[in-house]
Amino acid sequence: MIIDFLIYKYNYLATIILILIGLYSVIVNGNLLKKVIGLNILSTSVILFYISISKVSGGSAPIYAENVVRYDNPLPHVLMLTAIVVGVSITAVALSIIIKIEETYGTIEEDEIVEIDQNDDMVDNK
Amino acid sequence: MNKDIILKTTTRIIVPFILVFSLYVLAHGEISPGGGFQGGVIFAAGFILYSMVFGVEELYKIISKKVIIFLTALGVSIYTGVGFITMLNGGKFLEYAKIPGFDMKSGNAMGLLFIETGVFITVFSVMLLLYIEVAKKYDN
Amino acid sequence: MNLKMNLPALVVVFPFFSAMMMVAIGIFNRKVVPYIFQITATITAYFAFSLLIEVYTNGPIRYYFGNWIPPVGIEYYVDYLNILFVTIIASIFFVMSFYFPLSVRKEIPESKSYIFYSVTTLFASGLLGITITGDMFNIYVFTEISSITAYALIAIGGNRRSYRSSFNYLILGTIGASFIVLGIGYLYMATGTLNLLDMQERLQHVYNSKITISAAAIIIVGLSLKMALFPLHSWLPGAYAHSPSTISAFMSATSTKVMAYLLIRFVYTIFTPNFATKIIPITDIVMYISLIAIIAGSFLALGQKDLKYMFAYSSVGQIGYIVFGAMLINANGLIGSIYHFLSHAIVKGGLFLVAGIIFYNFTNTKIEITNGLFKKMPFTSIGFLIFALSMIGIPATSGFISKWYLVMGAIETGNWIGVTVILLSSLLTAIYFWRVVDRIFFKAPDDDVKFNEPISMILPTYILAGCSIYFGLFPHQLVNYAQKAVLLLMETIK
Repeated sequence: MIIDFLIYKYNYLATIILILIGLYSVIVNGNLLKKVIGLNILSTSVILFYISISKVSGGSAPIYAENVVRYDNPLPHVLMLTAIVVGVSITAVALSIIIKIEETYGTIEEDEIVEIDQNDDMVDNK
Repeated sequence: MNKDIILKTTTRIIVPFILVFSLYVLAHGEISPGGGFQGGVIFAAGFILYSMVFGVEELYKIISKKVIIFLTALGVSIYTGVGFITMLNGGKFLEYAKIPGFDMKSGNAMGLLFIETGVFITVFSVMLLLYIEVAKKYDN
Repeated sequence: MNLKMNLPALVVVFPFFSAMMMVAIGIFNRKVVPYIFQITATITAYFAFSLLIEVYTNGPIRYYFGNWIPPVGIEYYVDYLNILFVTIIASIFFVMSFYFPLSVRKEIPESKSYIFYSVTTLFASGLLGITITGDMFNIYVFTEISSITAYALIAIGGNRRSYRSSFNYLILGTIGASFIVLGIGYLYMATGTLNLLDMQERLQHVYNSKITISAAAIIIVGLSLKMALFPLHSWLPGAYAHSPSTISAFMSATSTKVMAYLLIRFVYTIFTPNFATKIIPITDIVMYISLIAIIAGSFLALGQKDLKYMFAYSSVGQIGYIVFGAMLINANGLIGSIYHFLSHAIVKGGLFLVAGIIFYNFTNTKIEITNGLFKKMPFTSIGFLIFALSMIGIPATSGFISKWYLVMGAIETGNWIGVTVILLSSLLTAIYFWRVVDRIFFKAPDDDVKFNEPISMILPTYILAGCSIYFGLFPHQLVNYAQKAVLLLMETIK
């Protein structure tokens, strides 16, 4: 059964692996840029998942053509177009915030940023 | 890289083709893969290529930043504007059959083209704006 | 134009459209943008109220986009529940729109102000869209519209901490949204539809499927992340404390609560309580987490040195009340939850407005500067007192009514832990608010500098304070509305 799953439904497995890679790199990496890359991997995994569920066995691509009886479900493809747009906008916002962080803190390593903030707090409390 | 003649010449030749191809993608959106979003991205790619080779300042000579920001708003306004027109004409939001001067069949075809044009303009200008905002810091 | 028929679309599309207009006009003339903003807020509130009247006289409305009949087309589904939320969001937006111009002039660079107004309007239209839509994927799209604008709005806050908090929120918010869209994908896989009502119908036959169970788990995790339920709240304090004061007021009043509304929507309309009782007890799990959130939020608020941080942590606790009431699966609990949604939106929004007035004069909001504030800024101080009393839940304020219903619901379901927690947390709330009230009213001021309290900032604060007292004294109308909503939601339990 596991072998069947691996052969016929490996794309779901790939989805899960991609989600885990994305989450891992968001959590573990201290570099803000790498976190954003992790987020992108995460949203890509969602896209892969939706495209996987749109497949109809024996169906062709959902574009009108003659002599084709069965089409894949086009709806998830359309939805994922939106998800791609959302992914682009989130990346853009994240990158511009990172640029601002780099300007104001002088670094994009999270532990250094935390240190700078803690020093600020110490100065404030005195 | 700024002086590279091969790059500059190739870009000059290739950019018009990119722009025309993007318009084809836009117009053919309803019956083949494509549409406003993809067309807009390709259209923006042409401009981005141009500004990568010649610099952002050169790009501003063609299209100023104010115009780009205005286009961002204009595209979405076309989209929602079509919706408002159908509502004013007694239909529901984006009910293409109720666009003045069109019937059920032509309305559906043309209405789609209208809103795709709106999407095209917005996507083009947003993509260009994103590129400029990030690139202007590392220009020159 | 058939205005009545198109109200559901107009409520969302109109602010969306005028946000774009603000950009288009703002590049040429920045001065008019605040006026367009206020007009937009007014007209949106007018649409929301007409829709409220329309729904309560003629019953739920199903609005088909482009006249495509669902499940093919996208549908806006307005029933007794979400029209309440739409009205609350629109009217809070309206009331706060008076507050914006002065505060924005103080805190936002002039060259960016028109973008700021536009993005704020877009944020509001995203929130309205989440509440009104009847299509699963639309929920995700509007969630992202409201979140992306929220990231930008927090980052505009001015100091470098706001960039950092915005980035934190961006990371966690995007993970949450990815979980939501993944869960929606699972539901689509199980049922083959994205329409809410259609899905409720079709999902009943596949309750036992593993796909449905994973969908429930994934969606609830994603929603908890977005609404900052206790262990997942770490983005919230920074985001509220370092954003511009108008934005912290508007966000605290609406954004996390809209996610709580989505939780109610998912649990009651899509999964239905039957799923929770028969298959896996998701509601019980979330309910106990929310109880922990109530206590933890109150304790965390106790130790804060900054007013905005204190309000933010107290928001973490208050979202617990809303979730707790909703997860009791009990009519009174749900009424309490809806009423608390209103009460907390008014009160927390008002408190952040008060913090904004203090920031306007002192350019910071540390608790230690409030010594003897009553002598310097009497109107602000009295506003603060009213909101503080409402937060604690003193009778004759809206906080009392919501807690009353929550406790009633808890007693009816025999949930004595819940009763204890609510009473205990009211005590904690009293402690951490009285700490500030004591400083404001009974301590001598450090100096006798007089401060000005601009009328355009005081007025919205007092309108909210008045609402809080009004809904504390005359809750009948709203409770009737909430009861109608609850009856509709509870229909699925048989």
